Amino acid sequence: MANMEKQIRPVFTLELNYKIVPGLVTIGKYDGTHPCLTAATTADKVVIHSPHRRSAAVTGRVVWSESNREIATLNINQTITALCAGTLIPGDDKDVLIIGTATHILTYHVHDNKDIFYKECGDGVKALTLGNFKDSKAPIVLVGGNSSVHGFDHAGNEMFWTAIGDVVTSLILMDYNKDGFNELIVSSEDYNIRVYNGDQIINEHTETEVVTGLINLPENKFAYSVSNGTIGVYEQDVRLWRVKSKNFAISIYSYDLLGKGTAQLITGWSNGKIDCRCITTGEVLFKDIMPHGMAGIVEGDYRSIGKADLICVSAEGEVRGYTTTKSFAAISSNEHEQETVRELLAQKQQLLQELKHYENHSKGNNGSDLDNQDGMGIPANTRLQISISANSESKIKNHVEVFIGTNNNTIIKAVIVFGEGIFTGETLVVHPPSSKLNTYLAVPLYPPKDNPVDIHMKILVGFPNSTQFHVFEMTRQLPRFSMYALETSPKAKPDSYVTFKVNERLQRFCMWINQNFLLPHEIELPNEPHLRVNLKCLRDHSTLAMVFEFSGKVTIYTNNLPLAADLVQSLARFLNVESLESEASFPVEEDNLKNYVNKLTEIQDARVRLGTDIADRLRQVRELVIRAEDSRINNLNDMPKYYKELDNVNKDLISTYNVRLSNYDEGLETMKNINTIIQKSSRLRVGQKSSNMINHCRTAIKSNNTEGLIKIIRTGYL
Amino acid sequence: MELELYRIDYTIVGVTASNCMKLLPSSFKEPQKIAIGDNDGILQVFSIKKEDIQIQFKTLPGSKISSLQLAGARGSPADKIFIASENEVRGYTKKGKLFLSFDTNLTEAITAILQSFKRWIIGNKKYSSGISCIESHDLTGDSIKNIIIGRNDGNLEIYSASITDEIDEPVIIFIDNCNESITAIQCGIISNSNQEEVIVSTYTGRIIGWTTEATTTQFITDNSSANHAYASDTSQKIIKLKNELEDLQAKVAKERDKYQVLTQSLFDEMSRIPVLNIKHSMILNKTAAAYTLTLEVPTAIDNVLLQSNVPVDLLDVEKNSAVVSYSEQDPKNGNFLLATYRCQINTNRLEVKIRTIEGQHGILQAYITPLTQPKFCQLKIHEIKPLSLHLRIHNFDQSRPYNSLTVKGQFSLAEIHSWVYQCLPEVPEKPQVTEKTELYFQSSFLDTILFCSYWKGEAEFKSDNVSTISTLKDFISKEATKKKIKIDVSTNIIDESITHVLKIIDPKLKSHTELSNKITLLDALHELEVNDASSMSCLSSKYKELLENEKELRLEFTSQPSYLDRLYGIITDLYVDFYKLKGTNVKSKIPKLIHILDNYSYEDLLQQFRPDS
Repeated sequence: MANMEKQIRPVFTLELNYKIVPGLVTIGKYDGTHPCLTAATTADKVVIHSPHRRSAAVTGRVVWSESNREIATLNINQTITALCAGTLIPGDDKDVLIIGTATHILTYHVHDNKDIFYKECGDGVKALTLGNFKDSKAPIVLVGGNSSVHGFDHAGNEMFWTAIGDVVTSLILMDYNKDGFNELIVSSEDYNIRVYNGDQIINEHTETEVVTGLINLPENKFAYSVSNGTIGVYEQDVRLWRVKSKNFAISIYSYDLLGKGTAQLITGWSNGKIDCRCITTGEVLFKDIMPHGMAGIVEGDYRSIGKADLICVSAEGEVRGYTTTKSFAAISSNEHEQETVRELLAQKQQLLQELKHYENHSKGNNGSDLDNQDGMGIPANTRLQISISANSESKIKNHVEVFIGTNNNTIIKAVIVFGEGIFTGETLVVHPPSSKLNTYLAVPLYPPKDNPVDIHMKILVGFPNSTQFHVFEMTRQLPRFSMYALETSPKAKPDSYVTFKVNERLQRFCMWINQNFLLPHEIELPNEPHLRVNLKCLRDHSTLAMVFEFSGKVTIYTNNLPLAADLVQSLARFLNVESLESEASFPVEEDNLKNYVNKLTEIQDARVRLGTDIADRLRQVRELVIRAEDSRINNLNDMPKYYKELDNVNKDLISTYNVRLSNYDEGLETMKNINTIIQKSSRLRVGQKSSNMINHCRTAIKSNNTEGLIKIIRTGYL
Repeated sequence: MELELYRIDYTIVGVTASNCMKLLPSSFKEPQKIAIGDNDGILQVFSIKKEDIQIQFKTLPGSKISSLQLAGARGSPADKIFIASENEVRGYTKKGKLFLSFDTNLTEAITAILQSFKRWIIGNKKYSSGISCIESHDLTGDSIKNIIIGRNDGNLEIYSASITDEIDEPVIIFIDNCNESITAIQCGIISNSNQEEVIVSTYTGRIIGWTTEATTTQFITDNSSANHAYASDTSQKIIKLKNELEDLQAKVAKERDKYQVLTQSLFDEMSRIPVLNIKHSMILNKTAAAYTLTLEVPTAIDNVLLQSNVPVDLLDVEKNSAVVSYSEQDPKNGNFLLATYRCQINTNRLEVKIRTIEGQHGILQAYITPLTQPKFCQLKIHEIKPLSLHLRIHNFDQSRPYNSLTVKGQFSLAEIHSWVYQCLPEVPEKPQVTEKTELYFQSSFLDTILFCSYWKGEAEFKSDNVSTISTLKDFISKEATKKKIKIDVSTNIIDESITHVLKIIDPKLKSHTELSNKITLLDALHELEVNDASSMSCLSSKYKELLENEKELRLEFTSQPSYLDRLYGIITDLYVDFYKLKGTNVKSKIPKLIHILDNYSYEDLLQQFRPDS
């Protein structure tokens, strides 16, 4: 490894002398030819590094540094939340810089020093991207907010809108399904990665934690990073690989560092590590370490040699440029050979160890001390029985129970359950005290979401005084809806429901239930012309009833809108239904929606009022400062009076600021609630019907038509 | 690095103990042969030709070889190999002929035949891992011997130092890591006749060479046939290894099937897994006042489960790449710590830093699962003693105000010794034969002293720290009750000792409060724009200094996580213990104490402890 690291050295290094916000680094050719590294600083500035700058004529928003003529800064005075650069204006080859803050986006033409558009984004700006999407002829700016994605053209006209249901964390445009057109890939804080072909969701991937970053890779692949330290690569539906580290990936990028002809995945980690991996396998091919955490990775022809370098920026503002290093490939082959030797020797060691076990084992059995429980052995025919069930009888908390028992007098010392997204860490350990060791053990699981979960268990089996235990390894999959148990005494059906019709036989519905629920026995075809299933949710004891009729009509009764949506999606996927419309009635959610819309109107009204107040107060401040300083010269006794008044006005200003802040937060929250209801309702439909519904909602919101909105949620149409 | 060395992995043998590898002498520049003994009892001598090993001889397995030395008759080369295993010493010629074998009649196993101590003073602040072996050899060709050091954490370090000149600081000229503890280092001519080489054996039995010849770079820069041949040596070796592996795999598959059949059988046969030799230690690090738990396994580790029945904190170890996951603790079932470490590929060694709390005793259990089939796991238990942060010292300051604890009763020397043994680290398991035992300890965290003196029927403990006395009192009383031994316990508490301990804590508390304030201030300073010289000059010198030293300050802060909380805990314990020994319960006054600490002044704190002073 020591050898390897020597071979790829940075081709240039420089210091920006600004602290950079991790994740907010981009690069733009603002004059159409020369790339300029652009990043957001921790002091709410945008720093633009122009190593090829010739004239210093530009003035205006941009302030050129006096000490370093390559550096210019742009004061934003608001926390910068997203940065992006690229060509936007049709017919102009110069890149524009797009800056997102909590409330606005600014599209700025650096070269011409003019604002292209400055637009308020009520939903906030969390992620930005730029490019061709849908049927757009020209590039559009896509803005991911707290619960939605907006698309704008170069004039600031809204071209696209969809509800996401949670905070957007990253956006990319790429040809996902190899149809020659860009799809939009959105990751959000609800652990999801959704793929949009125009308005229509064409795929959804669920990860085990918040997905923090996405990057497009060659050959229709994309990479993602997760807040728990995982990175991975998808090629359409298939996850090619993923790895987890104890650090977090800040920036991911694709670049051919090793001269292999195709790009590798470059990852910048929170601890300053940079690694280069094979896109198809995830194998580490090169790594380097910077003294500080990474802030971003981009590429650009920074040395004006006609080829783009890989540019890594650390949070402390250190910049390192790397370039494709072909000779490395040859060196690596020899170094690789040594690695192979090391690997093979390790394998040999392992096999020899295993062989030793068997040899010793047969030796041991020739002895006479067969029933000796010296702590080293267990009966060879020891077996484990494992059953998984939805436990609704438990006195404590209802849960999914994994019951493990041995078939003899051996005890279970401990169980380690590996699973992602169902515990706070990645493991759950059950380790009974020595007084309670037994031949059986129950592991309680509480899957927080309705997702299928793979659990891998390591079960330590031996005798109470053993110092060495046999480890039984088992892998099981919990079905998507495992936190639902059969209701033994059916209660009244919930008021809310969704109903739709699919041309399928009842047997198919039975199969879907048996595959997706954890029921004590398989559901069989009933004698009646319909199938009715009554279930209880183990999380909140709410009732879920599903009725499947002979005609193919399905009705799902539950007050839980997201659950209804998950059930519809799961069933549609199982039955391969590409488009489905439904009727829904969720009175509580409808009322909520009405209230949220009203509340939003109130909040917006209040915002206008608070705005006028502030202008008035600012005038007072100015006046008081002048009067006070005036008195300093003319009448010193009056000065304290004015300053006291100023202090009062100041206090007022602070309190109104706090009011405005809470107004803003509340507005955001309310908007998110509305968008969530819309997004969930759209998932009561499938395919084209679902995206049509979103479009109708958008129209209804634009025209402030609350009744219309509710009608759409019920029927799918305005 | 001044020295460029290239790693070549030659082969693997069984698990090796310390210093069980030697190079046999050779005439002139002839390649030397390697003699190595392992835990399987196999002694082998081999040479290396074109990266391939050629075995001279290999003995049959036997008891574990714990030492290997070379010797020869006066005037002839030292080419006779002596090995020690258990209580037997055997001698072999370089051809493998057994010419000597005798039983030493000692009851305990021999760990070394010859012991020679050398002392080198090499300061390495970055690495605190213990030195496992040392060698000196001229590698740089300047006829000054270099010092080569192998460490427990797998670091190989080469220093150049002038031994004659004492002022000359040793300079590190090469460093590499092989991820497992180094058991022996030798230098000589091994694979190539005119090339010096460092050869290392590791715990798991890897034999690795570091050659001075820059094979890889030469291969790139010129394509001369010689170097090409070198590269293909490696390829040859890979092919050979692959074949070997195939055979092994077939053999293992057969055995695996046999084993499978066995597990299906209806007979009461036992499935027994031999005890795997896992090296483990839990050592108190004086400066950090924390324990380092080290686990090393002959094969790769799959995962490690750590469980403890007392509250302990796990600290992050930077070089540790394993993914740690904390399972929810379950104090009701005695699980205050349930953490799993999932190791990355090819990890043989795991190091974990653990911080204990004095006064709480229990055990730390490590369940280590190696990556072998059939899967098994081994349990290693480490005790966390009530006074876990104390270290043995050999003399102490007599002038401090000492509180004392006297215990009298019908106990034997063995009994009182076992109580002390259970309470404190670094105490021998068996009592000394002398009538009266005296032991001195110092707390690694507070530097307070504990003096123990005991004999049959009576024991006296003195400490300037009331909490230490209280912990001892509780523990001994409990143990005596358990054994139904009647004891009289009396304490003599000196109020002045409180003032003394608070004075020890005062600078620690002050400096750390200051440090955490500085960090808060630094965060605030970053809100400002302080990158260019012009705005920098507007800052006061204090702020400028803060920004200049930011890196060090942050490092200091992060290297001692929740240090302040730890101090608060100690002060609270001190407060409670002090009054408890005086017969008052002050639990209700703790919030007030915390309030004083949050707005710390030494006088207020002392006032709270000793309102009458």
